[in-house]
Amino acid sequence: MLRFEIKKIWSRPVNKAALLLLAVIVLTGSALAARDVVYYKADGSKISGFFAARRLRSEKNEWKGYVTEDVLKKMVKENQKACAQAESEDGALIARQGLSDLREWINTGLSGEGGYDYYLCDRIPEQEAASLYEKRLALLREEFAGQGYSQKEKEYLTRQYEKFGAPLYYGYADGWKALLDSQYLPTLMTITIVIIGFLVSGVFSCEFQLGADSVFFSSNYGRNRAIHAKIMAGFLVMTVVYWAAMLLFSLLVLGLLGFQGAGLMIQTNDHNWSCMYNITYAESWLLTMFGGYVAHLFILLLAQLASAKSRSVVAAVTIPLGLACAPMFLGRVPFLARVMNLFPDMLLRISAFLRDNIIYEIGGKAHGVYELLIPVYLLLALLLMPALYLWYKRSELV
Amino acid sequence: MELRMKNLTKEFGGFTAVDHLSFTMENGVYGLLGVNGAGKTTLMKMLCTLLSPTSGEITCNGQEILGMGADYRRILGYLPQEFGFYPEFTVQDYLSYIAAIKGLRPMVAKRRVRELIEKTGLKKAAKKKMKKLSGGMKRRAGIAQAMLNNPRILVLDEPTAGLDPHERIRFRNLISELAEDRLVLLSTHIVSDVEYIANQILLMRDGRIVLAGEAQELIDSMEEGVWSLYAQKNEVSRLMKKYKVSNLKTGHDGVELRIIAGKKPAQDAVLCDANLEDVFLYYFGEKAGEENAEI
Repeated sequence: MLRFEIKKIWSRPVNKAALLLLAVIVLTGSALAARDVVYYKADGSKISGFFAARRLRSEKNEWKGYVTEDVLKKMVKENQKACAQAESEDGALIARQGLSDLREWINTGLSGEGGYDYYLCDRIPEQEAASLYEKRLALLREEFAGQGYSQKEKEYLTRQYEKFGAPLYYGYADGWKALLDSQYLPTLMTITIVIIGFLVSGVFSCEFQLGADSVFFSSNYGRNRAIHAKIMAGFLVMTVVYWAAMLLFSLLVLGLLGFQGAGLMIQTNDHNWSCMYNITYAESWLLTMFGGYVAHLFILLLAQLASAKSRSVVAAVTIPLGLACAPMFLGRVPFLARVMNLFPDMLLRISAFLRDNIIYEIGGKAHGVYELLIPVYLLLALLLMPALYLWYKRSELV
Repeated sequence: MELRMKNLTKEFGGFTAVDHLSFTMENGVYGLLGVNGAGKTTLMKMLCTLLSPTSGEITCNGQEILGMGADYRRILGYLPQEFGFYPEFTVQDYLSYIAAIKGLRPMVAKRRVRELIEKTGLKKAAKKKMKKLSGGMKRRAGIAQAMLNNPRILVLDEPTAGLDPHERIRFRNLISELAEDRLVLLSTHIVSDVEYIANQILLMRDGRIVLAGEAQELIDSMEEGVWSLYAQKNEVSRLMKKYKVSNLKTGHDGVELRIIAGKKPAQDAVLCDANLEDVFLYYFGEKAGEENAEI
């Protein structure tokens, strides 16, 4: 039965075309993500992608290792020396590509209340640069003080920051950064959920649409095992297509830019400097992928439930589109933002939102938004399966 | 095998589709005749557990069919009026899938699919996609799916609708062949279908079975006679208004009419043998419009 349910999905030419479209989007997305890694050659020309990654890897790995106070001092010294020797700003940029990440740590980490200062590292005394870790907590406290957190939420943030393990281990990780810290992955997840929604839209509605419902429901297994097979077919298509798309995208990006850096903390990218989640890139990848999978399960099972109820494919196609995209826009309305942050689409954008430190105080205890959303939506997805079974089982054919 | 309907009623909002119907069926072929909207399809859907009755019950060998669940559906075969299928499946895939949801084990299913493909004359089309089949072939695939589990109860809703005369004859013969040792309920508004193959004919009107019996019993139940007469063309209109006319045949010398009437409608009218079409017209009167009087 399961084989035939899956065959029903793949026998539709339009579904084959949708899968092909997804493959093209994955390939294009990975090429675009790889292109974001750039390297400037000595003559000022720019290269990107695989060849840029190769050059950057070699230069950045010269700084590989624990970034202690001494290393920070050395980096500041070399940065300022390169600045002094360079004939132009572009020349300085080219000369400092290997230490650009560490330079940004200083710019981001020590800019303080005045806001980000791109030239801070170029003029800061070595000793002050060495206080980067020491001042991190105090400066971050200043930063979050005016952001409307409750007392419990502030305590939670402080505890998370205190767990930060200094000194950080540094190395080349541009592949992981391109994969996780860009907008390509959340965009791909949004497209994937819409396409999978399209693929599974007919699982529970095709019998009604085709007029095959009478034969289905009057058969021996029509109100039990055949429904299990439908749920399983939908689940398998969601799971296989999602993981295939994500693994292919990850493998292509990392294959082009390098797998190196999986064990580095995500704070090694200056964009994540104030992130409260003390995790490595590999852990961030797992969290992002698993969270994305939970969102796919929940939204697509909900869409299938709606299509079983409405007996139409429209619900199965529009629900993923609506839930994946609408909260993103509604969340920009200030008074809706806190509510919209609890919508399942947040799980499609974990890597992009980790640095936003979204915290909710529930029952007198503060939680990071993903500590709440992942178990809640996983539980809801698991509950949707029996709900879908019971709903479909009771179908009457007027 | 005994299928008993007790005081069976199905209402949709304010409309009563099946109205306190009580009837018992045993092995044999039952032809259910009625005009459109008589409640035939609703009755059949209830017999196939696709609809639950508003009141009353259906029992199979004494057990309530909705309570029996899968045990009942295991012995049931159903060809619905609107027979839908999976257009991209081949005939073989379609039948194999239906065999799977009917609970046939893979080896048995394989053999049964092969047998029925041969029996229904679909061998050459076995690898063809369902959407490529002609209307007749689709209907044959429909009867094949209904027969896959060798059902003890076979429910066929308008199985010959839309078929050409050759296909209909072929289909009727096929049903007769398959009808042995089982209960077959065949719903139609095509009188000749049931005339040839049904042991018992049930006339359904307004959600009730108004008459049941063998073809001859139904004919004998008519309290009016069937008359044949020739009339001039200008008289036809008057006669049609005054009598139930079951047939008209225009010739060079006038029009030959077949009239159902309690007494001789004209001096030169000749009493003739009634048939099931006359019965249909007699009981359903004006409701038996053109569509319902299909032969």
